Amino acid sequence: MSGPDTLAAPLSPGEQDRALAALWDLLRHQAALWSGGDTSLTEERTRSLLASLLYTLGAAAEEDGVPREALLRGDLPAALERGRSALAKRLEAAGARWVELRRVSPPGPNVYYQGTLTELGRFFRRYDLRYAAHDIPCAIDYPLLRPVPEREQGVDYAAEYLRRLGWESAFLSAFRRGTLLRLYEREVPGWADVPFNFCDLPLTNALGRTLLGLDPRPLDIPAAERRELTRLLAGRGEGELRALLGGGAEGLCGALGLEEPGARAYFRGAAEDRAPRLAAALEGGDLSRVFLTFLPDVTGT
Amino acid sequence: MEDMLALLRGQNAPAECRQAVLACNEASVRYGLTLTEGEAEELLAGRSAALRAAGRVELGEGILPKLIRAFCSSPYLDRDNYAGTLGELQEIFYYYKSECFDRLTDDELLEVMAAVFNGRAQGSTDFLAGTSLEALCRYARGGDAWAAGREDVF
Repeated sequence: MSGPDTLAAPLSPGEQDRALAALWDLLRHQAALWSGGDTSLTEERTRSLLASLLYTLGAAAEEDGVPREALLRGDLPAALERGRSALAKRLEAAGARWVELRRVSPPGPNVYYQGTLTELGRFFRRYDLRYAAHDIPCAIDYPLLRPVPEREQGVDYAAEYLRRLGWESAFLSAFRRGTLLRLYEREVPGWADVPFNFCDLPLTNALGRTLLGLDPRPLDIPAAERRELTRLLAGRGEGELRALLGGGAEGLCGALGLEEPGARAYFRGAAEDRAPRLAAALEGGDLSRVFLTFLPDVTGT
Repeated sequence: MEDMLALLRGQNAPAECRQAVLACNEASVRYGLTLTEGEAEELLAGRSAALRAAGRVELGEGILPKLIRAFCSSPYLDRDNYAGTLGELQEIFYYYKSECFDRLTDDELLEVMAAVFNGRAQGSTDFLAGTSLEALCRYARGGDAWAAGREDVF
């Protein structure tokens, strides 16, 4: 009787041979279905079919909560079908997330943002669950604050991209559109037509205001506040800055009502990513290109 | 992925492929043509090299049995040139299968090859490959139904 320890154990040489033979049979079957019975395929097509099989079997292993090796001991065709069911569910959930995001307007028109949302719609039409499950059949050009790891494939990549885009959308909704647009107009020439991330500049300024104990929503950082930030942050190493920024992100998420743990971790990571640039700017003694002033100074200081 | 595919290729049982090739002797013997075990081995070795050269993978007994059955009745094959010509035809098949971007099925390509080999090419594999199949692939790559260029092919 197999138990968790048996499932997790590496394959014996005999099991490896049987697993390879079973995988080969599965690949042969897939190839025959795909080619309509032809006796050979290009190497490229064969690798693609194999990648699709392995990715789908991986999905089955995740659903079953077992290591992939455990599947290789069992009924592979049945595991393939379970994997396909799992991916179909993920596809549906990602599709629902896409529909939600389509209803939310970004701060302003940007060809890369709009184009990517349109392309993601095409993803759901073009996605080939049976023969190219690992593939991402669309062009995704809008840059996220933190890119989806390249190890993600197929529907998992699209789902993760949409998840992150959703978090970014929730972040942006906390700020007045007019404020965001003024920031972009000042800092990103031709922002409607370039691949820039809507959250990038607001996040840094919002972090700065949070570190000063200010309401992050106005976003602007006048010169006086920037001097205070310089005093607060000067002399700290990159590690310390990472920790400060990470803590600042937690505070920022709390202030903006971003409660989802995934979102908080995402913005924490994005905040910490700013540490090297901040450290370099502090070394030069000039934070004016990090924490931005984009509104007129009404105080006369 | 590269290693995994190489590992899996080893699963293509050579014994099974050899048996399938030798089984074709039952059909070809009526034309006075048979393959020895040595000739079958050589054809299978040639198959591996031709597949690699054409960037293709076979997942089963492959095209050889079908190719043998398609050509064994050719008036241009005899005992002296049988095995050698099959080897050349095998190479031509894989090459042009890729050149046509797989737009022709196995059966379609074999049908054309056999018709031209036994017709216009008069048993010349050079003519087959250098003239008619080049024309065939131009049509196939261009997306035209290959039969549209029948004159160039046949």
